[in-house]
Amino acid sequence: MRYLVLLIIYLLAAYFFLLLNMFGSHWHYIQPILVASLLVYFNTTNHWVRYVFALLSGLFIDVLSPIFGLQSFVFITIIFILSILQFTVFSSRNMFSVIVLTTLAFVIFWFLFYLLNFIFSWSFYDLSQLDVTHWLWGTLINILAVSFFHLLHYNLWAKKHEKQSF
Amino acid sequence: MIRYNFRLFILFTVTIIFFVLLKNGHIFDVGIAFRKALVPEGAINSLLQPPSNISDEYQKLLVENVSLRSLAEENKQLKNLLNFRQEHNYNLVLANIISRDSANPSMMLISAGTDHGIEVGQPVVVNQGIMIGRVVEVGPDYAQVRLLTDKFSKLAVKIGEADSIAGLLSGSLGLSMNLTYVPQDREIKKGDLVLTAETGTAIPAGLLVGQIENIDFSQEELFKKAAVAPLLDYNTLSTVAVVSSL
Repeated sequence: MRYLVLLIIYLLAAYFFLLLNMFGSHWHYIQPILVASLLVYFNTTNHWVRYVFALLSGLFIDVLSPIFGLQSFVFITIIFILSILQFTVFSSRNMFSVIVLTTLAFVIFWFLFYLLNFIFSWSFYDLSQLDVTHWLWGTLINILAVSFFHLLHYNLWAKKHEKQSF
Repeated sequence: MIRYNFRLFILFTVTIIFFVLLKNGHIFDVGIAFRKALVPEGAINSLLQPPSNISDEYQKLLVENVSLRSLAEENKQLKNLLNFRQEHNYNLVLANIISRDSANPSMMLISAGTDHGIEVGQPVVVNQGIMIGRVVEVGPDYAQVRLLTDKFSKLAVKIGEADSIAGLLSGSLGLSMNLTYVPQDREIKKGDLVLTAETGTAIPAGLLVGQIENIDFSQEELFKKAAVAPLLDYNTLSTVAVVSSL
C-alpha cells in the first residue's frame, strides 16, 4: 500500500510539472522526476527503495538525454547526501527538515550539473541560459510541490500509521 | 548506518557505471581489464605478442625436423636392407656414403673397406636389393664405388626372373643406363624390370637394377637397344650395403 501511494504521488508530481510547463528548455522533464525521488525518499525508511527508485528515475531520464548515466549518478548522489545529512544534522522527520533537505537537494542537483559540465566540458548542455531568477523560481516551485505532496502523504497515510511530527 | 548508506551509494554508483559501459559497448573492455588484473601480464603478452626469439626457435625446429626426416629415411633404408639380408641370407656390410666425386658424381666413397671384408667387384645395394653400383677400389676403411650410371660401368643383366643373360648394361653420362646386345628374338617392353644376371662373379643374380624406359628397335641391326632408368634417385642415398659374400 505504501509503495502504491508513492507511485501515485510520483505520477501526480510528473503530471503537475508537465501540465504547468513552467520551466524553459528541456529541464522541466527532469524536475518532476527528482521531485518524485525526493518524495519517495521522505516517505520511506528503506534505503534500498530510495536508491533503487533514484536509480530507475535517473535511468529513465538518461535514456532521453545525451549523457547516459549522468542523471542516475546525480540522483544517487543526492539521495546519499540527504541520507548523510539526516543521520547527522537533520535527524528529525518534520516539515522543516523536508523543506531544508529539498532545497539542498535542488542546490546539489544544479551544483552537480554545473560541476560535471565544467569538468567534462560537454557541449550538450547550455547551462548559461539558466539565470539565477529562473533557477530560484524553479526551485521554489519544486520545494512547494514536494511539501504539498508530502503533506498529502502525511495526512493520508503517515499520520495514521507512523509516529511522525509535523 | 552511515557506513551502510555509503556502501549502498558505492553499490549503486558501480551499477550506474556498469549500465553506462554496457550502453556504450565498453563492457568487453572491462572484461579485458578484469582479466588483465587476474592473469599475469606475461601470460597475456605471450598470447597477444609472439616471443622475440620465434625466428631462432623456428630455425632450431627446422633443423630438428630435417634431422628427424633424415633419420626416418635412414631407418627405412636400414629396415629394407635388413629384410633383404634375411630373405637372401647374404652377408651385408653397411656403410655410409662419405663423399661423391665432384668431377664425376657417379663415383662415391663409402665408409667401409677391407677391414670390413669388402673386396673389389662386390655389388653395392640399397633398399630391398636394388643394385646401384660396384666397388672398384678399396682401402682399409673406405671403398670407392662406381655407380651403374657411370659411363665405364658394365654389367650383365637379364629381363625378368626367367631369363638368363639378356644383355649388357652400361652407364650413360651418369644419368641413365643403356641396355645393349639384347637378341632380336627377345621380347622386351617398356616397364620391364632389369635384374642382374647369373655370371659366376661376386654379383648375385636377381638383384634389381632398373626399369626399361625406352626401346630402340631396328630390323637392320643384330641386337636391340633400350634405355634403362634407375629405380631410385642415386643422389638421395645416404646409407648403402655391400654384398660381401654370398
